[in-house]
This record gives sequence, structure tokens and C-alpha cells, in this order.
Amino acid sequence: MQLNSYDKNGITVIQIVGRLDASCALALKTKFKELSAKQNNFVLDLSKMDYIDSSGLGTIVSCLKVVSEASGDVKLACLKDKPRMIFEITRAYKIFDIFDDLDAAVESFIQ
Amino acid sequence: MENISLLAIDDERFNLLLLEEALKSEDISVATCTSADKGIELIKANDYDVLLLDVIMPGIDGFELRKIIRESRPQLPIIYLTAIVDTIDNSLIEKISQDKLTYYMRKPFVRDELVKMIRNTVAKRRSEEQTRELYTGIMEDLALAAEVQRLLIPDWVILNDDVIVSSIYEPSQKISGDMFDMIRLASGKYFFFIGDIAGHGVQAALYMSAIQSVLKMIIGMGNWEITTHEVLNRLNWVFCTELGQEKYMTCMVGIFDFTTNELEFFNAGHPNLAVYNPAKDAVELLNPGVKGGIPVGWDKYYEYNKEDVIQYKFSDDSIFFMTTDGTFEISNSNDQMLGFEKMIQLLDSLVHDQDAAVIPYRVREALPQMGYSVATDDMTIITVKKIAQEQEKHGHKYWMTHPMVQEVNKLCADCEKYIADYTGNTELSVKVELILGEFLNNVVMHGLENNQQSRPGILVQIKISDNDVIVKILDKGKKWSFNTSPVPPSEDIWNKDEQFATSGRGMTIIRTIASEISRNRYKDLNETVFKIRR
Repeated sequence: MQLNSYDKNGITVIQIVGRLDASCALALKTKFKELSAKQNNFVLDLSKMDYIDSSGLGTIVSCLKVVSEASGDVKLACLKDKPRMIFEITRAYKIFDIFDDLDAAVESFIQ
Repeated sequence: MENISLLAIDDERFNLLLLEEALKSEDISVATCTSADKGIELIKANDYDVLLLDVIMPGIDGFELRKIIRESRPQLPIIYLTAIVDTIDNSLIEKISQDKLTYYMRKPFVRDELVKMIRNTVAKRRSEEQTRELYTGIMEDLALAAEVQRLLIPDWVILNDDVIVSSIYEPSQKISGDMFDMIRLASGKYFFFIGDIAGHGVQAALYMSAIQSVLKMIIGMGNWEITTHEVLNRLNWVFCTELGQEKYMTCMVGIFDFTTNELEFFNAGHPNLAVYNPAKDAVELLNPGVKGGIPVGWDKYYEYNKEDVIQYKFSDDSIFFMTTDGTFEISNSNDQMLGFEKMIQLLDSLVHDQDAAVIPYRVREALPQMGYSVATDDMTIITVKKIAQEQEKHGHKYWMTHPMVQEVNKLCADCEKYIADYTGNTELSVKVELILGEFLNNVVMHGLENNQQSRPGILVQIKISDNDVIVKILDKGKKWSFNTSPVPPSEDIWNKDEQFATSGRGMTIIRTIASEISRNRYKDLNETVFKIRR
């Protein structure tokens, strides 16, 4: 898994590339901890994420928990078919705001 | 003898002075104190060879003090020096002898007798300690030898494109004189060997290790056409000339050709090869006692002849069973042995609805249930089954992985692709990948305690039918159980109370997806089956 982060209109975007599973979930947690010291609103760009398991889902949930306590949010964008199915099978879509478009996800914070 | 370090505890200073003076000229260093409390302190801080205790002392008496000392120093010898004369019922002696490392001497003592008792007691203790250390060292060496030996034989399951081999290998002591191997000679062609060195324990195990290496060397000398009788001739010569004649070995050597479904094998005094014959729907013995040769190691000039080689034509669904005599010589509490015939009956009863990979473990699990639990010899049970090329095209495929997270994830992705390609149903394939990923990660992290070693492997089998996909996982992780009832759709994985929990959802996700889950443990093999509706 690879993580790329950048700023877009004042919102931090983290792009997840590859599989987000038990073997690498900790890397995302560490990266998020570092970034959330300065910022509370995030968009996870999942356009290049191939797979997510319960450890990956748990990590994203823990990210949401961290920023929720500081009135922030984590929104998800551009889920590929396979991870989208996993969100549906596990009903994880109930927890997050999910956007088809990265810009729309970023815009939703500004509005 | 090395210097002796002694502690004497007595509330009367006179007695202590007497002791110090009496032992002065000897190589015994004497420490003294007048209270049990101080004595406990000194014992904690020093490594004495022996204690001299008074029985009657104010506060904690000699017997109570012994009880306290035993908590931290169970092996420290104690000599009671007391003026008490025992009662008629010997209650004092009885109390003293409740502890096997306690001795007794009457006061006033005779100096020479006391010195003799101290010396004997300490000498005995030191000798016992040396024996214990030696024993521990031998046990550690044997444990290491057992580890090395396990590396010499194949893992519990061998999976190739054309064959699956499953085995249970159980030394009667830490190490074993049983051995087997399966060596690929060419595409679809395998050499197999099963052997049993007479006797068991260290000697048998050393022979086993030597034979295993020699065999690989013989097979590896590629400039000859490998035939079973010739392998035996070469093995017999090495055994008799290089390894001495104190031991011998029964064995069976064979060559499977899965491209033509032909087996040739040679039996050198070993229990017969049994096969499940699908045409008869029964397990039968191949060549019961007609052809064959004498065990290896009996006669260095013996010739294993081509005429004694047995040829057998099998079908795709045949399952071969090999064993060593320890398996059917297992006894019950009435000293009755299981016997070879009953073992074949047992195999026959299990083979119809069981996977070849599970059968050795079902057999081993069944033996104590049938009352056969007194094993005196090493045990090996092996099944061999062809994997037909068409099988994969009919939705039936095996995978094997080492217990490492990265490899497990690759396996999950491969399974997903196979199901997606076979069914064209991506939602189904993703469901299977999710189940496999969640479950196998639990097996690796918890069941196998994330040991990061290449063994024991994990076997995954997928069978796709019109209505469902069956996922069967066999692993050798520790025993752990989980709720196998499906989660009703009404139940929310992300319920309010645990919405932000960061872990612990894996098994719930599995139970949400699978319509049926079953779990069994046979000996040390876990069998977990998930059914997912299409």
C-alpha cells in the first residue's frame, strides 16, 4: 500500500493506493495521526484502492473518531467497484459520507 | 568435594556456638542465626547447600519454617537437630519424613556422625542436581533434534498441480524412526518412499536422518533410469555397508505417474499399500502378501528383483493410504491391538465423504475414541490423491499458503480471481475474498501466533456448485472457537455502541456473508467450512 497526501482548498486529501488490509493498516493510522495534529477535515481518495478488509475499515473508522471529537470529518471519494461492494456487504457506507467525485467531496466541506 | 555452605538456625546461641566449633576444622562454612525470620532473609540472599534447623523455636517453629522455605527452595536439604524424643506413635519421625529432603539427628550430636550426615546429604543433592542438569540438556538436545527431523520430512500437506499428499507424523518419543518423502521426478511423475526403522528413539532417529539424506542422493544422481527395485538395491547396500547391521528398515518405494494413472511400487517387508477404489467404492489392499522383498538391512547381498515390482492402474478419484506399523499396533487398555484389518475398515468408513487431506487426522482422532490410546511406536499415516486437470475447470481448486500475512493476502486475491472468472459474479468473488482474508488473518495472527515460519502450511479448497461456493480451510493453529451462527440481516455490524470500535469486526463480517459455517478439530488439524450462497 502507498499513501499520498496533499492539500486541496484547505482540506487534506489522502490517496490510498493498493490494498488496505491487516498488513498495512497501521501505516495509515500513523500517517493520519501525524496529519490530524494540524487539520480536522479529510477526504480519502480511494480511486486507487483495490481492496479493504475489516482492519482497513477499522482504521478508517478510528480516523473518523479522532477528528469527530474535534468537530472534523472524514469523507470518502471515488470508491472502485470491489471496495464499494465491501462497503455494501459490511454496511460500512452507513458510517461515512461517500462521494463519486473527489472535488465534490472537498466542496462538501466548504459548503 | 567442594566447600559446603551451611546455615544453622537455633534460638539458643549455645547450640550455634557448639556447631561452629564442631565444624570449624572441616571445609564447611557455617552461617548462623537465632530466629526463623532472620533465617528466611539469609536463605533468600544466599545459596546454601544445607540447613540445620532446630524444631522448637519461639514464633515460627522448625516445621513451619520448612514450609516457608519450600516455597522458594524446594530442593534444599534440611537436617533437624533436636533434643525431642519421639513419641510412641513416631509422630515426630512421620512429620520429618513428610518431606523427602529432610533428615534428622538427635541432640546432643556426635560430631563425626553429624559431619558424615552433612557430607552425604550435600553429596546426594549435588549428584541429583547434576543428573537433573544432564537430563534437561538431553531433553533440550532431543527437542532440537525433533525440530531438525521435522524439517527432513515434508510438511503435513504437499500440494502440486497434479497431486495432494497429506500426512500425520507422530513420534512415540520426541524423535522418530519413521520417514517418508515425495520427490517430483518430472511433470506428473513422483517418487515416493515410506520407511520404518526397527525400534524407536534416538538410534532409530539417527538412522532415519541418514537414510533420508542417502535417498535424496540416490534419486538426485540423475544419470540412471530410476526404478523402484534398483533404488532398494542401492539403499540396501548403503544401509548394510555404511550404517552397520544393528538395525533394519521396512519400507515401500514407488513411482506415481499421474499422466497415465500408473503406479509401480516395491514393498520391502512394509505394511501393505491400501487404495480407495472408486469403481468398487471400497478400500482394498494392493498385492496382499504375494510380491515383495525382505526389509532393507538384513542381507547386503540380497537382490531386489524387477519381478517383485507391482504395477497398478488407478483412476482419477483413487486415494492411496500408507502407514507404518505403529499406527495399527496401538493398543487399548486390555492390551488388544487395533490390527491392520480394523484400520482398513476404519479407512473404508471415512473415505466416502472425506477429503484425502483430512483422512489421516480423522483416523488419528478416531483411535482414542475407539479406546486405542496406548502407542508404543512411531506413527505415520499418509494419503496421496491425484488432482485431475479437469477438476479446476469444474470449479474445484486447491491453494496452499505459508502462514504469513503477505502470502495469505495473495492467496485471497488469487481465489477471488478464480471465482470471478469461473462464475462471472464479482459480488460473489469479493464475498469469498473477504471471508478468506478475514479468517486466514485470524489463523495466522492468533491460531498460529504469527510465528512467521514457512510451516505448517494452510490448505484452502474451493468448490463451486450451481447454488453455492464451499470454502474449506485446513490449518494447524491452536484450538480456538468462535460463534458460527450466521448474523441476521437485521443485526447491524456498525451498531451505535460499537460504531467506533477499530477492530473485532472480522468474524462478524464472515458471519454476515456465510450462510453456513462448520468447524471441526481432528487431532491438531482445524477444519473450517464456509458455505456462501450464489
